[in-house]
Amino acid sequence: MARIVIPADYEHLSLAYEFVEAQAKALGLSNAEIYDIKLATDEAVTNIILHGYCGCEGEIQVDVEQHENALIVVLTDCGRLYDPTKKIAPDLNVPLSRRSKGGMGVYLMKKNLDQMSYQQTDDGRNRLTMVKKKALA
Amino acid sequence: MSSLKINVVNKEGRVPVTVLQLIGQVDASTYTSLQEKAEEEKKEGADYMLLDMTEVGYMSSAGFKAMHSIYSMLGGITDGGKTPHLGLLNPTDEVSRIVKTLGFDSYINIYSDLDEAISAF
Repeated sequence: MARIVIPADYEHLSLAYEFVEAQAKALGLSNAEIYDIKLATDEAVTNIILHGYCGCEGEIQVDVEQHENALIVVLTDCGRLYDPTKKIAPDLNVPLSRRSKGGMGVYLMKKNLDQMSYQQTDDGRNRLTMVKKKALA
Repeated sequence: MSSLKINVVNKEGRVPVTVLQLIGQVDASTYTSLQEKAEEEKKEGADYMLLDMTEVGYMSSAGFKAMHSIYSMLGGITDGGKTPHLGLLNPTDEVSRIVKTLGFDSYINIYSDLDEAISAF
């Protein structure tokens, strides 16, 4: 397992998703699969900064496990309890001119990941687990 | 840290087109600079904009939020079709995939050639 811990601010956002991107490349995921897990990590970390810490100082732990056919990314933080899996997706049938500007990040996470689950840890932290499977050759 | 550089190039087609050449990544740390640059150009009189995505290797939903804001700001929108005021040039395969996933391709024209794009406005 590989781990980094970043300060919960936008200045360090790219460290998180570039770290996951490097792990995804090492596992041999396709370009599309790499983009999907990188994007999901970005969206999740952005939500933690925005909704979890609300601009306050904090840290986000990024753990990445390489399995034979999947990459598992686990984000843990001590911000306000926030479960992105419960966020309602935007209605993409609504014309863009009348569509809300938010909610696209979680929609893309759900759409592009193979699994996404949230739990509150025993010590009250947020833990988000994201799985991207490697397509069979 | 992510970086986004924005060059502005003015082109003349049937109408004047402001080309915003984006270089870098568009994420939550950089998307406001895209919004602000577009707003600045609109205040200077730009009514037609082309976002040149050739040098954008990565864009998150924050970039689409900026694009949505620019789309709304430029106006001239009908519920049924693509806006005549905003276009995208050369998004990468992965960014194109996200454009389609979010349905933005139903409302914004995507081009692969600069001259073709300018003449289409």
